[in-house]
Amino acid sequence: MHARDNAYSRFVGLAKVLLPLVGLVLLSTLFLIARSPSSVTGIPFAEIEEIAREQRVSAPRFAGSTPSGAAVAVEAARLAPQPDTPERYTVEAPRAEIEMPDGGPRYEMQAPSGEIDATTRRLELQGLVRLVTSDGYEMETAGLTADLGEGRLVATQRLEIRAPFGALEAGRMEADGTEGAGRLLFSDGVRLLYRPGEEGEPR
Amino acid sequence: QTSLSLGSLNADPDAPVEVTAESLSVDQASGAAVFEGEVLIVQGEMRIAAATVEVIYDDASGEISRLEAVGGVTFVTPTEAAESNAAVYDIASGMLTLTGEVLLTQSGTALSAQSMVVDLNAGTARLEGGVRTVFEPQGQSAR
Repeated sequence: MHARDNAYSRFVGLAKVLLPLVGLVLLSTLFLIARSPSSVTGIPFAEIEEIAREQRVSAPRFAGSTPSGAAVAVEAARLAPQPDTPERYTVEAPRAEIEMPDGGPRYEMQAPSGEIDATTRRLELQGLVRLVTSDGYEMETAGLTADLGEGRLVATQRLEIRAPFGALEAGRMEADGTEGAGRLLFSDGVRLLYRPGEEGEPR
Repeated sequence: QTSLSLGSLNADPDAPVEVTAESLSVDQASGAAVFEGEVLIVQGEMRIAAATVEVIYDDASGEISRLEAVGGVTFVTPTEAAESNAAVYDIASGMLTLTGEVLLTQSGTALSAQSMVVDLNAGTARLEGGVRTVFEPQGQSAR
């Protein structure tokens, strides 16, 4: 067998050895120096199950107006129906705005949590409620009920109020836009503290 | 229209003013704020009580220019007491004006007049309009 002495056979013999080696090298680069898999986060199955199990709306926002013409808008971080009472929803970080009719003041209120009752169209804010009116009243209280159907606000807990003319405390607050441009009533014992001579209300 | 000046009224027009009442209603169209129900204005040792007190304030600076008290107004300081139908307390200038059947009692003597202007800065009071002095037998105050 003279395969040894003609060039072509030698070339083929050599290739039989070299080519698999090259293949091996190429194959190894696939594993050795390939990029680490991109940070494919695990799919949050737990969260998906939670979402599927619980109907909820994130960042809901709805607006409307009352018969007396007050414009109402409510938004929240999350809204979820309460399991036992169908028409009641719990809301997270609700924010509401009521603009009283014919040029009346605008009320902006927010709270850490709250509940909405769809039938009575009432938003009950819970936790530390902060309420600001466009005519210079800022209030903080522990609970507030906004009747979105009528455009009326009622706070039954003690309130700390900064009025345009001084610092106020009151036991109860009602804001009503039904007749005329709006009336704000503080009751259950009201106390005003005013320091003459100081610029603006006492900070 | 006789007037009678009285000295030694002690009041401090720069002390903080505290107003307490049963309720405060704000008419947001006009911004008028009215205290109602046993309203008591306390400043230093001075007390003004009335049925209703309206707060007249300057929207921009938030300064109260005056308090308008109506209805059974009584003005009490440690040394005097006065009653009238209405009163206007101009906080900025420290002037208190009592109007309508003013009755002032001071250490046993009672004076009645149409109106009384009290200058809290100077501590003086001036009675105007039909000033009449009512002497009480010793020991009974006019009220």
